[in-house]
This record gives sequence, C-alpha cells and structure tokens, in this order.
Amino acid sequence: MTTPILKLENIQKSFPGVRALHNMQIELMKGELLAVCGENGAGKSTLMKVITGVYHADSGNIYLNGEKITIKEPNDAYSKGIAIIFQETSLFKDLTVLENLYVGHEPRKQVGPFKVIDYQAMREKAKEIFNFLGVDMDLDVIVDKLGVASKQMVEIAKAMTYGAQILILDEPTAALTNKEVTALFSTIARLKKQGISMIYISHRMEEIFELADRVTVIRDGEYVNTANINEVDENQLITWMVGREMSNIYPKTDLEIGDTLMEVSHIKHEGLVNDISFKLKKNEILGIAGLAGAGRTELAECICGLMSKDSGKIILEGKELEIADYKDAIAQGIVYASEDRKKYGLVIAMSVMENTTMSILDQISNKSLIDFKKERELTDAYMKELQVKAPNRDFVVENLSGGNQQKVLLSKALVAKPKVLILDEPTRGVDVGAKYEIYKIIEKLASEGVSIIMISSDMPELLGMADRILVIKAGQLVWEVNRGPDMTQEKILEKAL
Amino acid sequence: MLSRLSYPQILTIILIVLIAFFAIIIPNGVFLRPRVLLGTTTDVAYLGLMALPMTLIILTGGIDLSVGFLMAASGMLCSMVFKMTGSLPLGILVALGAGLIGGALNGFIVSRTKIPPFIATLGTMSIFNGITWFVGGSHSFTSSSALVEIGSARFFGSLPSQLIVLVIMFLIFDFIHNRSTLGRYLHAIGYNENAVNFSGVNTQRVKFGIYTLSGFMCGFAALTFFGRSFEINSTTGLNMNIEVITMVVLGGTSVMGGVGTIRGTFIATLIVGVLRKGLSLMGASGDVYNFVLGGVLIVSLIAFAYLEARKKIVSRTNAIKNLTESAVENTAGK
Repeated sequence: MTTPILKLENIQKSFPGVRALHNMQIELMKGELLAVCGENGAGKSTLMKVITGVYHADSGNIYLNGEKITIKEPNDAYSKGIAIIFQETSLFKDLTVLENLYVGHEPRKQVGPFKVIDYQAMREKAKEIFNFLGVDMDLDVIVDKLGVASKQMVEIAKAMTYGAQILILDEPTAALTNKEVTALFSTIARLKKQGISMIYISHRMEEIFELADRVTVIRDGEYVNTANINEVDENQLITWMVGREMSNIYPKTDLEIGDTLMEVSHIKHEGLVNDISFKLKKNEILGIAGLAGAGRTELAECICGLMSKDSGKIILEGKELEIADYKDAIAQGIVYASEDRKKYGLVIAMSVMENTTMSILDQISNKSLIDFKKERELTDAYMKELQVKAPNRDFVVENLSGGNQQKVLLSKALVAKPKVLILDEPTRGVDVGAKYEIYKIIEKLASEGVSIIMISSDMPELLGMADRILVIKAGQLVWEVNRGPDMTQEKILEKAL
Repeated sequence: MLSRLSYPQILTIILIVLIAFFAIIIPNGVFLRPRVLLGTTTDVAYLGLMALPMTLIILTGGIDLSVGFLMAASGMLCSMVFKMTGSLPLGILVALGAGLIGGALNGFIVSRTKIPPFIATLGTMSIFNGITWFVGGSHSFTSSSALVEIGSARFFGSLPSQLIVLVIMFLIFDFIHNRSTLGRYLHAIGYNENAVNFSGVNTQRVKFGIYTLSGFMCGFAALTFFGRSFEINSTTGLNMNIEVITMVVLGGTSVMGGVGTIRGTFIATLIVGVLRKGLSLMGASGDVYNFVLGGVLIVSLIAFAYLEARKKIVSRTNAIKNLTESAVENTAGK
C-alpha cells in the first residue's frame, strides 16, 4: 500500500444548527482521478472548501503525503500545491491571459534599485505550461474575450503556475459544448499522465465512468462508499447517492393523447427563430431538443410574448391569440417556466409565497389590494401538492435547495392554471431524488389534460418523458420524431449537430 | 438584543434619545414644550412628503435626484399663475400639474431608456432648475396669504397642520406599500427586475408610475413649502435631494433595492426634524446642520449595511435550524 497524496479522516464540520460534514473521509492517490458524487446538498462543496482552506473543520485530520497538515486559508492550500477550479472562474476579466496567470506572484527581476516584473520569464514559463497542457493559447488576449472553455484552461494553467499537485475540478463541464468537453478531457488525461492527482465533482454519470479511476459517494454530509470505477455501475452509484433503489426514474405512463390544443404557425424572429410551425395536443409532452443557442428558449419566449415575433400565429383551441406581452399569454393559459430560475424564474431573495403568487397577484387582488388570506391558502395548497420542502411559506427561496427552488418555480407556473406549460430545462441543477419528483409532477399534469412543452439538454430525460420530440437547429425545426424505435439519442444528436 | 428589534423600532429609540439629548442640553426644558417639539416637524414636512415616494423609488433600486428643483419649479410656476390670475385653486392645480409633468418626464426616461436613474434625474434636475431660472430670474416668489394661513395653522394650540398633512400622507403611502400589488412589485423589482417581467408584470409601467408620483408629490410639497411662508427663488431646492435621500436611507431603505419600509422613512423624517430644530436652538448655523446631515447619511449607510449583514446571518442560521427541526419532525413522524 502506498501512502495517499491527500487523506482526510474523521472530518466534522458544523454550522450553527446544522451538521454539514460528519465522519467524512477521502483518500486521493498520486496521479489518480477520484470522482466525488452525491446529491445537491450532500456536502460536496463544503468538503472541497475544507480541503482548500475556505472553511476549517471542527475536528478531524488532513494528511498530505502522509504528513499531518492544517490549511489555514486558500493561499495556504495553494502553497501546498492544492488548487481548485471553480464552476465560475475567478479570473480578472480585463487582464490578459499572461497577467492573470501570475497575478499576485509575478516573477521579478532586479533593475537598478527596483524589483520589476520579469515579463520575459513570465512569458516563457506560461508557454511551457500551456505546452504541458496541450493547449494552444494566445497569451496576450484579454480574458473577457475568451469562451468559457478557454477561461477554464487559463484557470488550470494558473493553478500550474503555483506548482499544483492536486487539482479539484468542480462541475467543469457544466457550461461546455461537446467539442470543448473533448478538449478538456484530453487535457485531464495529460495532467494525469504527468502525475497530477485530481478530484472531480460532477453530476454527469457518463463523465464519471469515462474519466475516473475511483469514485467516492457521499450523502447527507456522510461518507457512504468508495469503489474502483470498473467495479460499479450507474444504478449502484445512484442507489448509494439517494440511499434507496431507483428502478425507473422516468414515471412515464401511456396516456391517451387528445386532440390538437395549440397550433404554432410560422413563428419568426430575425436571426433567432426561423419559420417554425408545430402542433401541440392535449395530454401531450412535447420535447424540444437542440444545442444550447439553437433557438429553443427564443422560440418559447416568442410564443409567450416575452420576446417580440416578426411574424407568425398562435392558435389555441381553434382561436387565434393576440399576445403582446407575457401577461396576455398567462391570461390565455400559456405559462413559461424559465431555464434560469435565479435570473428570470424567481426572485430568490423573496419568500416562497411571494414567488408562488407573483404572476397571478392581480387575480387575487381586489382593486389592487392583495387578498392575503387567499394568497396564503393558495401557497399552502401548492406547497403541499408539489411537496416543497420549506419550513413555512415565508421562507426565503434563496435558502432552499435547487430541487425545492425548482418546485417553487413549478408552483408559480401551476398557480396560473396553464393549459400549455412550457418548461425550459426543468431539472437543471437539481439532484436525482428531486428530479424524479419533478418528472412525477409533469406526468401528473399531462394526465390531467395539460399540454407540456419540455425544452431540455438532458437527452435521457427527453427520451424518458416525451411523447414526441422536435429537434431545433440554428433557429429551424429540422426533425420531428414520435415515441418509438426511431427516437434515439444518436439520431437526435445527429440532426441537432 | 439589538438584532431582535425591527429597524423602525431602533429608529424610534434613536428619536427618543435625540429628543432627550436636546431636552437636557437646551435650557429651561424649552425643547419639550409641545409647541416646540411638535413644531420640529413643520421644517421638514415638505421634505417628508418627497421622501415617501422616494422610498418607493429607492425600493426598486432607482433614485430621483431632481426632487428639490422640481419642487422649486412647480412652486414658482404656481406662484406666477396665482399672481397673474389671483385664483388659488388654479395656482394649486398648476403646482400639482407641473410636478406631475416633471415626474412623468423622469418616469419616461427611466422606464423607456436604459439610462440609469441617477444620471437621468441628474439631467432633469438641471432642466428643472433651468426653468426656475428662466421664468423667475433673480426674483423671489411667494404665494397667497391663504396658503400661508393654512400651512401655519396650529390645532389645539400646538398641533401643526403640516404634521397632520404629513401623517395623512404617511398613512396612505404605508397602506399602499403594505397592502397593494404595487408594494409587492416594488420590492421584487428591486431584487430582480427580470423575474418580475417574467411574471407578466409590466415593470416599465410600474417605474413610470412611481417617478410620476414622485413628481406629483414635489408639486404637493411646494404648496406646504409656501405654507411655511418660505419664498422660492432660483437657488431653492439645492441640497434638498440630499436631505430627502438621507431620510429614506436613515429610514432603513437599501440603496441596492428590495429592502425598506415607509414607516422607517416617516420616523427618519421626524429624526431629521428634531436634529434641525435642536441644532438651531443650540445656536448652530446651517453649515453645522449640513455637516451633521452628511454624517448621518454616511453613518446610517454603514450601520444599515452592518445590520443587514448580521440579519442575513441570523436569518440564515434560523433557516438552517428550522430546516433541521422540520427534518427531525418528519423522521419522527415516520
């Protein structure tokens, strides 16, 4: 047995009133990639913050190369060779790549009485690092001009300037395209070959199985299990993560599809949506697939009046609708739940109740005065119906887990009594358990006669839930497929790319 | 203990302490005489009337810098019309109308363009002052003696009419803020305007509405300003925006938007009134008042930020505690 490069044992960390980590342990071997998975709120971020010195453990030991250490602050972690690459980059966006790499620890040289920055040395070292990563990078470009993927590379390179031996990657592929993911993976492979150890946090099972040597599962702040990746399968991991068996995560039943409810005809918005027409039936779950930026969200916004359309008609129950803004759409029963719940979907600083009733506030008001009793009753009813796990209706949404925030967003949509419900990425950033509950809600709605348009980048989810899938590419409807043997991930991707 | 009190409660304590301070420092208990104590509000009532709508604006994360000069412009137009026609109702109509139009101009710019309210109202502030200059030149304007009579009236020997007007307006604004959909939307816009738009609410119209309301209240404030037998000239209104904003911020409204109460603004208005009167009775000059007021503005900004940060921690910890408790209950229930 070799000594692990990093070992944590018996880590305890409590915040006032809550136990965040309990008996947490982790072992990282030299040159391996250890995946850490668990549901949202399982304690992954807290654990990473303990490793990088953002938080201090209440008790427990951290060993680096077998030696017991304490990590006082993030800089301490850096100097010990531990670096974290966050989901959102911490780069200075107005500085160049080169400046960013060495910010705070620029190489210096003596010129007369002054110590000045040695740009020559800096440039050479930076080139060396990017060579090592196998990335072609213009050192003098302003970071703001780079895409997400390149920023991430700069972040990794920056860690290398500190001589990092241990890299923590927190959901690194969340915002990347497939091509960029491939590039990132090849960099990860290079790092591994050079003996860099990595901790990899991700929701995406296929990534874990592709990259990891071993996987550690944590749940509710406690260590569950660790296994070699070739000794477990996806179901096993999910079972460990949620603590129970999950036979089928898509509660799809065979519903009788009704008649056409809504007809969308020749919708156009210059440069974003190009002449899209489709029909939507009662009880139907219509999936919309496509790459990010293909125009899916824009199509939804055109239908709901959140974005102006250049031309096109929307016919609901045989009647052509006049939709000037979103208020009109809601009044007609067309409701949209945004893909970005924090930015567009909810006012997260406000309470569950205030969010739930936000779009129907005028309906429960008399001469603009809110009927508080009605508001409370409605909120309580939907919290119960959707099983929103919040202590009470006045609880601030910001403090809820992702899954519960999403349920509040759903409550807000459902309280408007939709005939057509457009769900944009309904399970983004939601953990496995809550996902299942959201699917159940969607299925129940469909069975009650609501027509659902489900925009999603999560392909298994679309395949599992949709009766029919439209594929959108560059603002155009390129393919339509009904549930059946033709509805496969490969074929949909082929059309979408 | 302090963190248990609501912000308006803390303000009330500050008000009482301040009154006690002046009561002790100013000889013969002059400050506690009802006529003097209640009279402190007459000097700030017109500011308070502008601070009420300003609270609504700052709640949305906006600001209206033009208030002082808009008040002066509408007051001056009112005075001119009154002098020409001799009709007080017409004069009042002009004051309110001019305020309304000025406010609508602010509202139009702020809601229809992407110009930040700070810059937009900085511009209109200059326009309004320009109007006062252009029309009034270097003359001073007064209004009818009837207005002064009403504005200086005291009921039951000491209760000033100015205070009654302020209290009535406060009750109306407080009611709107607490009970109406508008109040709810203002907070939500302050936190996240996008999400309010995505709830089918026309936030442009809401914003247009409150800036217009602010203008209208400037016109109204001009009438109470005349009621104090103050004159209006081309420098009237200078620094009034600072006084008004100080009242709102001292009242606990966050300049970042989202957080605030009408109640807090009202008590802060009373505090500024006491401060102003107290300082002048102590023989301090106007410079001292300006100095103190600026200090109050900065200190309350810092204090509020501190209290907010603490409150956040407190509510977070409470939140987590509540969550764990309910989790425990759930498990126990099973």
